[in-house]
Amino acid sequence: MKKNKNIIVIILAVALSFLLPSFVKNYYWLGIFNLLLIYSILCLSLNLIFGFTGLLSVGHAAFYGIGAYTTAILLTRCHFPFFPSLILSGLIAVFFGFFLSMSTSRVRGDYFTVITIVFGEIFRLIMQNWVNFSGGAMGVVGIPAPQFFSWRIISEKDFYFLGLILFWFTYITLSLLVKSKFGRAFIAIREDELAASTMGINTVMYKILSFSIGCFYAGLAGSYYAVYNTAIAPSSFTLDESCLMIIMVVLGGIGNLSATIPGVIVMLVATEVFRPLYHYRLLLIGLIMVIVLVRYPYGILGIFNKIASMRKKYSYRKV
Amino acid sequence: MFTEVFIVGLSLGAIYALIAIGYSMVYGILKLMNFAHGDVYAFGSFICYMLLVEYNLNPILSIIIAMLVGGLLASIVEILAYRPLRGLEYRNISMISALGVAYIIQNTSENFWSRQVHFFPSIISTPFISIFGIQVPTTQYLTLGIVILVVVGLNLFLKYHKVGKAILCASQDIPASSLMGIPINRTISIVYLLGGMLGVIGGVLYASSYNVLSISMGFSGTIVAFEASVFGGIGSINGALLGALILGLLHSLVGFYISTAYRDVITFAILIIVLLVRPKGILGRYVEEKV
Amino acid sequence: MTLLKAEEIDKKFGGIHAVSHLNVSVNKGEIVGMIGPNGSGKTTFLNILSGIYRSDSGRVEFKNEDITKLPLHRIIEKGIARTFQNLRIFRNISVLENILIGRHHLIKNSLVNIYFNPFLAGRREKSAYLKGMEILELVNLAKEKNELASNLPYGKQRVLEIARALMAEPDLLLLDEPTAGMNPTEAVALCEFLKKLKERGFALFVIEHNMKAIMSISDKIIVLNVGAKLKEGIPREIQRDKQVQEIYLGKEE
Repeated sequence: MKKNKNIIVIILAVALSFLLPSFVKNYYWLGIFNLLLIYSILCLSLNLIFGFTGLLSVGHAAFYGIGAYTTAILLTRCHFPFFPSLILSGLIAVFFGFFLSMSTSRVRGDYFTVITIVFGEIFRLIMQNWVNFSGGAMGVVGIPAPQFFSWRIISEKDFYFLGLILFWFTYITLSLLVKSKFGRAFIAIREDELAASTMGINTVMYKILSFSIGCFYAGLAGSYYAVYNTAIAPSSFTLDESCLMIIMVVLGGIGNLSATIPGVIVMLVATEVFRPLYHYRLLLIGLIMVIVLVRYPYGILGIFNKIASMRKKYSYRKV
Repeated sequence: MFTEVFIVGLSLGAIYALIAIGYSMVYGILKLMNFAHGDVYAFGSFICYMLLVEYNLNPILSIIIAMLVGGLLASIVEILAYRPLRGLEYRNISMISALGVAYIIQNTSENFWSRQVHFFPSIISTPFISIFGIQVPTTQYLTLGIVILVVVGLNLFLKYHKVGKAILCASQDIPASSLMGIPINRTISIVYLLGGMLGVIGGVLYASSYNVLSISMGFSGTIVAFEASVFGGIGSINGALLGALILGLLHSLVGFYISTAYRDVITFAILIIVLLVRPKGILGRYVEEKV
Repeated sequence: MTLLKAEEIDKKFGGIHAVSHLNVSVNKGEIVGMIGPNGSGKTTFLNILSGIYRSDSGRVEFKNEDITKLPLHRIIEKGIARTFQNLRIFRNISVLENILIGRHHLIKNSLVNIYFNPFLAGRREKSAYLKGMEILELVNLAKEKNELASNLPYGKQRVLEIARALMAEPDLLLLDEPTAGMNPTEAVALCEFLKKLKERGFALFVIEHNMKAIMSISDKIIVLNVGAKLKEGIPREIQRDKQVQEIYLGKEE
């Protein structure tokens, strides 16, 4: 049966991914994988919010940042242990996401997008200027290595395993969610909100739910990033980052969780390849965004096979 | 002191109005948040700067050429990056494209003119005139004058000129307008052209008034345009003017009496409150979706 | 037994009096048709019944319960499901996924269930799936269950919308111009299907412009003109009524 085949594939994938460090010892490559894991978690959760529910959020990096700062401050100033901080980071991100998403009951979709952009900017500006709390532009440094009982997470390989655990947690919980009636409700909202309401879906509640859940994982990713990088600064949580996440999701395919990973990989490769052209980095990212969207608006690896026929071109001819 | 801050705020608002009007018109017709708006007119302003400073061209000529460049750029952007996405069912994909375009233009501008702040010479020769005993820079009164002319002209244009009326029709109902023989694609291009041109005027006036020009004015310009449109009512030109004036005053007052660092944060916060309390703004029309 | 009772429903949009003191009732297992010229307020009335608009005054009672002030998404729980005049199916997902969304309020899985009791959650999903296949068989869409909804021909899309509504196990189906855009053959097939639904115990409230169709299936017909009820009666009476003919065809000079 199809379902059993899927489970076997997942188990194999999990096993292989945990065995990876036995083959790949090079720390540079493990570092790349760690980066891949962080962005995957961020983009999977963003796919839930945008790909499935249709809420274009260009402020996801802010929740990433909220998680990062929560863990950073708890670890450096309050000497909290890591695991509770990780959970708290997720929850505090949810807290902010919850209130932000309540605005969807009042405003239309495009306005909500701008609210997310504005929120992201407010977050960044506050972190930059509230020096006593956040360390200002210098951020928080000296974040200690996490410890989970007797497991000290210091090396690139240790962080890989931690990241992997978080990644699979994200992927599996989100997969279960989107395959359920909740996932269908999110999709219904994306497709036609009015019809969704008529079918008994409380659209406001589900939008808030989707957004808040997505923010939780972003917070987790931020927490991981804080201990991985041992230092964080507002410059990591900018609008550019949010846009990068969006393009990763769109590239992979909206509404398709598995497809997110290739989208992340492609964009990370692209940004690495463009690194020598640093001055043109944003231009190239922008070009990729526009070209991909204009040619393949549903994602190159998206769920829609007939991409060309999906795009209805309005051509206004004089009658 | 307060009066001066007030007048500064008003003329600032007038400049914002030029920027916001183009943005609001585009949204009125296409319901698209043109995130690239600011960067387009910033590019135009830099062209003006280049012509003025490096080629020593006559100021009026520089501005006119810059306006044309800005307007043309806006139209080209529309044709290449927005038009193909117009028929899509997921409307917010156009917004992502707009973000991409913003980055493209921003980065291109950066590579031509660097990120630093440039000195933009004042266009007006007499720096101060005295009105009602207050020493106010001439530029500011000129700005107010230009904006009043533009807004009045635009209102007349929309009401009486064939193309203006076409724009109004298109902002109500595109398929119906198309069936009535209105060339939608051309009309939309004209809207973008106008928006770009007005934006460049605004950008140049700002640069001339404050003698600064930098790439970052692009993004902040888009934010300003959006804020002004929200305050005054999106989709409405007079609304954009009203909202821009309010925003200008807000910026001036907050910047002077509180602090410039938190000026943006406070404005953003007010913006979110306005969006939650009265999303259609002061003069806006909220069109109900027909079931 | 009276299923639906709408009393003195009144709705104005600015200066336009869309629905004026309307009284409508639908009994169990009955097919009630509503006709009237364009703009007579039929869809507005249907929107009020289904919770999209709130009436300015009046009362809607369903199964002896006052549902006038019920929020939109709660209406389906009471047993009223609807389709739309301009077809609102979920275009970018499959036929099966479309109708499973119709089952939403009857699948009792909560978040807690999904994560902590996956077997129970799976069983409920399975029974929803089985019900879905049953409905698809009923409407002859079983073969297309994995087809993208937007790929279906228009007639089948309309049927899909009705199938989605049926998944909610409603007592009353509100159909807004179900035969719109259908060719005569499809329209006749749909009418047969609607009669079959009536046999199964569903009550139907149908807005239609296709006179042949509505006359053939309705137990009673309500004629609306400029928001007010002009006439109510059995199809044969309505067909012969002079006033009804006038509002459609104009006065004889």
